[in-house]
Amino acid sequence: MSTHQGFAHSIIVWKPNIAWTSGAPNSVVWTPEGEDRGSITGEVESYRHTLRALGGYWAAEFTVNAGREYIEEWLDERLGWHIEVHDEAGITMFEGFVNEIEAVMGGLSVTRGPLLQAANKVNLAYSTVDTTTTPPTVGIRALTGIQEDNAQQQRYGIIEKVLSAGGCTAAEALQVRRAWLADNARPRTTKRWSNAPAGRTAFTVRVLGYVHLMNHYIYSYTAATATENLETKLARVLDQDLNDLLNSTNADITVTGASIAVRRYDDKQRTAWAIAKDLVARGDGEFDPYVFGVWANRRIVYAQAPDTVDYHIRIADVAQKVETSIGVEVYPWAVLPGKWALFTDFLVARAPPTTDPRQDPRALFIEQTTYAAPWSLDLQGGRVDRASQMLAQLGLSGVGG
Amino acid sequence: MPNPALYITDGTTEVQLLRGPFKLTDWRPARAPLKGGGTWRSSPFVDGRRLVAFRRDNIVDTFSLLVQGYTQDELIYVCQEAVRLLTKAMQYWATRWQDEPVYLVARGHGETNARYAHIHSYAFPNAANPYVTPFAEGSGLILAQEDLTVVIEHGSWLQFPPTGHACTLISAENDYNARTYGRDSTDVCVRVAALGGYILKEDGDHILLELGPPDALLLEGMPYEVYVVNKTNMANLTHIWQFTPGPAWVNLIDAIPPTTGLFAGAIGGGVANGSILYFGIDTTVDDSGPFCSLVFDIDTAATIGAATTLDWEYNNGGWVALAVRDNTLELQNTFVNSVHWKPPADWDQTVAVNGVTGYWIRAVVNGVNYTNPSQQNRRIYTITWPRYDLNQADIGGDVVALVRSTADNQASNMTDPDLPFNKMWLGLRSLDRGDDFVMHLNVADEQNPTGITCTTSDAGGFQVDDTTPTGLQSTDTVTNVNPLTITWSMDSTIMPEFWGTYHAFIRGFQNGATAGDVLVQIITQSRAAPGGAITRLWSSARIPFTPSVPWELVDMGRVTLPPIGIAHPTFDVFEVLVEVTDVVTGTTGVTLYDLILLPIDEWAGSFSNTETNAEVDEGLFLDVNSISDPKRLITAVNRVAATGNIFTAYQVIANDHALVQANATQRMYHLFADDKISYPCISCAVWLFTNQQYLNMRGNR
Repeated sequence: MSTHQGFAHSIIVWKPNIAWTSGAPNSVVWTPEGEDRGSITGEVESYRHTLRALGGYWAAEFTVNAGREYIEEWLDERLGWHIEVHDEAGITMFEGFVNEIEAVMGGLSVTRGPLLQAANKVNLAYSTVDTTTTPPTVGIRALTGIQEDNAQQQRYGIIEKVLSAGGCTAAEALQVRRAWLADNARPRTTKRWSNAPAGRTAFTVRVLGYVHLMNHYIYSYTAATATENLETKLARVLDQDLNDLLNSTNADITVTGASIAVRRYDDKQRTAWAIAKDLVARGDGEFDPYVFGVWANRRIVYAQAPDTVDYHIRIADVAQKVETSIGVEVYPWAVLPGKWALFTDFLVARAPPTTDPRQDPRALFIEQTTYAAPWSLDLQGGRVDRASQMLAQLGLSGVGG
Repeated sequence: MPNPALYITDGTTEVQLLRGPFKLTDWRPARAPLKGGGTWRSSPFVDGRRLVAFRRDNIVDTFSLLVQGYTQDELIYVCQEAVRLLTKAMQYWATRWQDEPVYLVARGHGETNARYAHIHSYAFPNAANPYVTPFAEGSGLILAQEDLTVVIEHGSWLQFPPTGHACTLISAENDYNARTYGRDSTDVCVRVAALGGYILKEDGDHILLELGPPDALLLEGMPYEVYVVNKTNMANLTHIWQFTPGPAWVNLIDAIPPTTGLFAGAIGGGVANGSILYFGIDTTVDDSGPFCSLVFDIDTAATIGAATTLDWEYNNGGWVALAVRDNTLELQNTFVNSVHWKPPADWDQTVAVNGVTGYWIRAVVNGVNYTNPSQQNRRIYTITWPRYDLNQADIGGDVVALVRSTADNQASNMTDPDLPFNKMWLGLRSLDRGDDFVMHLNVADEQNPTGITCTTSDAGGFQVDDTTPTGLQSTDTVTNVNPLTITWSMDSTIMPEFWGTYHAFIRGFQNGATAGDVLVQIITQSRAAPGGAITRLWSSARIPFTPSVPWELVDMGRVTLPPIGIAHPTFDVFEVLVEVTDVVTGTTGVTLYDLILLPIDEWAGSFSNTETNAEVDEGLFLDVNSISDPKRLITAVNRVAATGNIFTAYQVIANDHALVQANATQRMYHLFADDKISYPCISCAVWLFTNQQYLNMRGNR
């Protein structure tokens, strides 16, 4: 027999290098590929990942059956570590950081993380209370200013959160902020024990794509009030990443239609992710839809969603393959979101003749792909139309009818 | 007739299952089942189902044994020994500290070869009651149990015990100008065996291999036989002039071996001061070009006395010193050794030596104390291929063989030539898929396989550049409306030889400008006829060049040829294009050297370590290994050639164990880079060691 027998993937583990600099505020250069800790390909029992048209590498999960020593090593050390998954051609098919580790060791189940539930740089928004009036009046919203946990930042990078409280005095707000940070700066370890133990020892690693870190830094720009192009603002949002993981120089930001103007001034304490979603939803001057993702080597791609079909699927195909429009098989792990798939044996001779997949009931815009090794693929469709972009540009959330 | 054998051992202790207290009464060898029955796909709308992936599981064998002995203590002792050994087998896999594998050894009646399998687990499901007869019988031969069942879970059957492997015959040759250059596979492993290779030794009931420490084969003194280089081109030596002051000229190119020494006069005799060996490629010959290595196989070594040197020179209008790494030590080292250099940018290809115009280098005897060396049994050659070949007769087994493949950097001397690498890719491809396939498609109108025509969009055509593999490249100032496009047109004869899946790279140079300004794309298209209508079939993503990185290796991702879902199609003309565009500033100088198609569909791996000083440089070799540490799928380490000790570990990205196909003639392709830079003259001596795998008995294969 001389048949190639494998479509194996390679899963590589890196200890990141977190270069922390004290300041006001502190800063970090987070290099995911710090120290190579080798491949765990042969140890992995199961693997799955999810990719999104709005996000890119979204999440992955793998399970390893292991002995106690190895499980404890993962629980103790490896939260925040960089995981790379390569396909059979050696090409990256997912990368991200360890957000949560869940281990089963007989009767004891331990979960470390999620990392992003913690925060080591916090601010508190509260409503001031004027006690000189009777009754006291709740006044305007104010911020306490930031408080940081240096030790945790040096280990995990900067994870920022703006907390929200109701009416309180400035002193009370500071007290709340301090208490919250003391409790939440470290990733949590939760445990469950049963005297009817599971018969195995294993751990599951949950990995998030780096796009999730956009939800953990606050974008603020108050230096000017004029408008600017959407793509300029998007680049500015990326460049404020506190961990220097994302930046506009490692980005492919391409606007195909006419650029649209957006407000430059922004002090609403919104996360970078909230702003990016808002900008992506606006599209361009022709109201074309766009996709946004963080991909291999943290490269950011912002581009117009395609208006042609990339994949063909036949529901009667015995192998249930995804193919290119000229028939080359695309392996399940290589199918990407943000593209159109056409079911070529669905509604045969019933669908209206059109070259626009948006008008074709046989076409699916792939919002999300979920791949599970070795061969399982799930495609989730999404809606693509121009009206959504128009409403977003007008600042409307929708229209009734 | 060979004795049958069946026993469990860790290499020291053994438990016999055919004789002694345990006697085999029944065993029906199991086959490795598919994991989960394989991965199948189906549709309710069509008949049948289809297997889309499979992996094999461990083999679970059930042995029925008769247990007998003369005393209860003796019986208990042998059972303890068996259990201790089998427990050690489990500890080997479940712990980090236990590093001695335990394995089964088996050979049938009249079967020539033994086979070996790692033991993973065991069970004794039906041990007998020790408080009743027959175990409790008083004296004499105690038949303790007639039907003891031992269940052993083990891996695939192997040609050698765990961690064992043998030097495997490989070769690397090419034809040029009606001559064959390189190394065939004859006797490639002879000298490895002499250094302590594996020898089958039978001793009564035992079948043992004399196992030297695996790294003992890799110590200094390891003979070099087969070489690879980081390029594919055709031009090999057309002339080797022996010059003797007088003057007298003799062409040694077809003297195999030379009947005299490399220089005039008796072998081992004195050589006249000013004697010269010229090595050249005649530029009037088709597909000629520059070269960057010489491989010798010295029989009688030169000796050098006081005030004498052998100097390497090239011509840039006059003869000047050539910076080389000379592994022959001025031809004083016997056996196969090489000389390497970076082709100088001012190498004058218009120089005529004894009437032959071409690319020339020379070795000049300066002094009177130099004795005449002789070449052994093959033509002196330059390395022009990135692969070694493995013949189907030299690799057996039922399924893929496990591999240890080493690459010893022979080209770099850390200063000039400075040719280290910290990234290596390997890709395997069976030769029956097309022996005219080449990994590098050169940006040149020559030195590509017959049936492939390369053209450039640059109005000036290809430009002479002595530093490239072919002596040509294409340079243009690109804009967003004036891309530089290189087209390789394949006729219907050659195109099927390129069908496959590849990890594609482009080597080129962006001269200044800004990162992200210059994007490169691969396009495939077909034509109705030569010069006829074009249909675009597929295009890759557009990937940015990095400014000012010479010989940049740009990773273009996966490419599948043909890019249509029809097996083995024939087009009138099939074309692969590389198109470079400046999308931002408008004008940037770009040079393209070659398109690299690393085969990945049979097996491939990449090995890298970009830490400071982690390069495989002079005195180091990269050791890719799926044999020596069975606990690890595959490892790659940078070893010190002088000791075999590890210098540093490399990261591995591979789609399986390191493997070669069983019973197939195949090629292992190599690609090297130092970070982003991929100099074409990085060159390695390579070795292959294998351990073949079997699904059941071996017989005499």
